[in-house]
Amino acid sequence: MKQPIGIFTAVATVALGFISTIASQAHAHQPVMDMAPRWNGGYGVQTRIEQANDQTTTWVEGVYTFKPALRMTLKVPYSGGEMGNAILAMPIKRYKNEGAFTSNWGLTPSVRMPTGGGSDWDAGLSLSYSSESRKVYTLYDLYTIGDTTGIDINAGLVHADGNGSSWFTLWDITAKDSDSGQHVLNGPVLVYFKRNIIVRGEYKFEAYDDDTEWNGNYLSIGIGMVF
Amino acid sequence: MFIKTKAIALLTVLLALPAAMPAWAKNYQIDVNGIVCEFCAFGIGKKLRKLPFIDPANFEDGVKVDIENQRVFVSVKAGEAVDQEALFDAIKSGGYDPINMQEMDEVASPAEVTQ
Repeated sequence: MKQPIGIFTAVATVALGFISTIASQAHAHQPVMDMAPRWNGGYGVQTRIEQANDQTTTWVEGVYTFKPALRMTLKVPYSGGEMGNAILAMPIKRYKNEGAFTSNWGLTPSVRMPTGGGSDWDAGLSLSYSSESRKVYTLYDLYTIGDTTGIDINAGLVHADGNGSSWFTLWDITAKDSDSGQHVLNGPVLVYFKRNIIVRGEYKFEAYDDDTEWNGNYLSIGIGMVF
Repeated sequence: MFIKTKAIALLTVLLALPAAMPAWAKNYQIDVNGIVCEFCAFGIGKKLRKLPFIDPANFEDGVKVDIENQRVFVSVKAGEAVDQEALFDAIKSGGYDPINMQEMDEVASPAEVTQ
């Protein structure tokens, strides 16, 4: 365990130093399949269609797991036929397994690259905790990227059918603060797993809006696979 | 004399019987901390099935994950030695913590393994 802890500390120090020097605008944040793949050499792909601010964005996302404590993710947005700014991240996780309960702390340094034009590079950092039992799932994610700081909370129930598939019915609360203001969204999330396939849909209602760049509710539908 | 000959023949058959019968695969139960989601544990099955001594004829290609009771069942090919260290390493590389392993009844079938 010495090596992951060393990596954890080193990357956190570098990322925190880096993030304090760079600031710019920011958009959506969401982990790429937080639960899986958590095995050495595992990888996954996911695509999501996101509707927000009268704009539709398609995200193509990939994840590779070097070992349970270290992953790499890439998220590439497309909107109006054009590529947006891609986000490369390196989630570092510390798992704890106890009987019918598993949890992990995650520290995720990230960088948003100017693949959609411009020359600004934005650094990001997220601190997360998630836990799962046979019946309950929770995820807390405090993050900052560019000029945005936010928190995502997912909590809800797990319904496993015992034949390789499960439903998660969650409630999501998202709060963001950026140069353009603050907004809070909340709403239901439905997740379905079947073997190595995940389908996720979420709809979030605007609960508070004092943000000049935010307008209305949020919809996201996605499908992914891990191998 | 005739009876003695029959007795010897019967004894010969009985002694030869075990060699002629098909050998049973051995099944093992491994208790694993933290397995509560089959999607999350998908990699465990993937890792275990790559081990050369796993018998794909039993369970689900040789492995079954029981998230209800945090157990993994593996079937080992007849005549093959089970390598506990390899099994535990495969589970650890899948992100979970194996606790202990025990052999099940030789004739245990997948149907007897409850979810």
